[in-house]
Amino acid sequence: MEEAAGWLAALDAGSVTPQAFEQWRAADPRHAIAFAQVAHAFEQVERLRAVEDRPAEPAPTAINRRGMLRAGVLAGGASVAGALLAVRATAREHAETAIGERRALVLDDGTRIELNTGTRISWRIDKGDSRIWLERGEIGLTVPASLRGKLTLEAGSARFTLGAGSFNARQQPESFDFLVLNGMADSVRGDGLTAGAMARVIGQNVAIGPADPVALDRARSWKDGQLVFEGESLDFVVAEFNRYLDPRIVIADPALSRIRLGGRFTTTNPNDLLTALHASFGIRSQRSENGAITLTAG
Amino acid sequence: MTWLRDVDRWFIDEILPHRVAFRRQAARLVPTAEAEDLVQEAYARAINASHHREIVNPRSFVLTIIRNLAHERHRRATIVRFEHLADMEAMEIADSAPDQFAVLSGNMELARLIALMEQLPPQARAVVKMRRIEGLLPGDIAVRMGLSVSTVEKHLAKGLAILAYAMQEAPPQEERVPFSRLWQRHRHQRK
Repeated sequence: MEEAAGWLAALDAGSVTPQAFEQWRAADPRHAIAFAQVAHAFEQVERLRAVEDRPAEPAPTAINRRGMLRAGVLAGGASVAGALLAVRATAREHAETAIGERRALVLDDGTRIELNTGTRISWRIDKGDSRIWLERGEIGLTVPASLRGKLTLEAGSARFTLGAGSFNARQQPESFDFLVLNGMADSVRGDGLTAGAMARVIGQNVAIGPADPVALDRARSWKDGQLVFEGESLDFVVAEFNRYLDPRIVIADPALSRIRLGGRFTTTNPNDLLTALHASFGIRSQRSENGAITLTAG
Repeated sequence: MTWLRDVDRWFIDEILPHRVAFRRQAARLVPTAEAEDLVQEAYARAINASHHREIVNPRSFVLTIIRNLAHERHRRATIVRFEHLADMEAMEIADSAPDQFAVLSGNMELARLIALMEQLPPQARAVVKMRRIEGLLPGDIAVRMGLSVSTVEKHLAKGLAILAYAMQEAPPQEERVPFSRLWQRHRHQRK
C-alpha cells in the first residue's frame, strides 16, 4: 500500500515517467490492486469538499445483521435432550434406542445409563448385585458412590466390574471398547483400570492402555449430541454420522475420502454436515432411489 | 485520473464498494487469519479479467471467485476444522441483500473519511487537505509549507497509504459514530 501511494504521489507531482509506472503496475496484480485502492482513497478525499458546507444529516440507521445471523444459527443447532426415565427392575429388563435416538434411564441401584443411537441393553438386579449386558451400540454409565452391591458390565465374552465413577462402553464392528472416564474398574482377569484407561476386547484378547484424548472427548461429547474428530478422513466422519442416520450417507466419489476433518460438530443433523460440505468443498449430495444420500465432487 | 486504466476504473466503481461483503464471505469460508489473503487473491483474478465490461454482476463474480478459491484451499488442506466449515444459511442471506450492504457502506464512507482524516499525522493531513480539498498543486503546497516538493510528495503518499489501508477495513459495529456528531466535530476543529 505504501509503495502504491508513493507511485501515486510521484505521478501527481510529475516526478516519475508514466512508462516506469506502467512497468511497476504490470509486474504484479497486487500492485494494480493496491494502486486502485490508493487511487480510490485519493478520489474519495475530494468528496469532502462537498461536506464542508453541508448541513448535518440524520445518522443512517444500521441494521445489526450480524446479531440476526447469530441468533438464527443458534436456533438451528439446538440439541435434543434425552428423556430421563426411572425404570423398575424385577427380573431381566431391556431397553433400546432406535437409529438416531438417545435416552437415559436410572436403575434401581442408582446407576444412570445413557443409551446412544441404535443401542440395546438388558440388566438384572439380584440381592443388591447388578449385571448389565450391552447387546449392541454404545452406553455411558454413571455409578454412584453409594452403590452397595457388585456391578458387572458384560458384552459378548468381555466382562468388567465397575466401582463408583463414569464409564463408556461401545460395541465396534471388530471389537468392544471400554473407557474409564472417572473412578475405577476391574477386568475379568483382575487388571485394574483407572481414569483415562481404555480396554479393547477382541474375542478372548483384552488390551489395556491409556486412551486417546480424542476417544475420551468423544465419549463425553456424544451425550450432548456432539461429534468430535481429530483429522480423520471423510470416510470415518461419514461412518460416525451414519450411526445416527437411516437412510445413510454414501460417498460415491473415492477421491473425496482424502479430505480430512477435525473439530467438533455440534449436531448429528446430516443437513448441517451436507450444507457445510457443499459450501466448503463444493461437494454435492443427492438422494438416490433407495433413499441413501450420495456424495459426489461438485 | 489519466493513470487509471478502464479495468482500474471498473475495479474501483464495481468491486471495491462491496469489500465488506467479500470480507464476510471469506471469513465464513476460511480461518480469520486467511480471510484477507483470500480476498486479495480474488481481487487479483478480478483485476486481470480481460472481459470485465461483459460481467453482468461484478459482485457475484467476485463472491463466486472467493467461494471457488476457498474450495480449492480446503481440498489442499491436510485437516479442515469444523469450526471453519461455512455456514451456508448465513451466506445465502448475505448474498440476497446486495443493495442494503452497498448503501450502508456508501453512507459510512463519508463519515469514516472525516474521522480518518482527523487521525492522520498533522503534516500528512495538511498536505492531503490542501491537495484534494483546496485543490492546490504540489508545487504550491511546497511553497506554502516551506518544504521541498519531494517532501510534500512523501507526506501525500503517507497520508494516502493510511487512508487507503483504513478504508479497506470493515468498520466494527461498536465504533460507528453518528454522522452528525462527526460532522460537528469536523466543523468545530476547522474554526
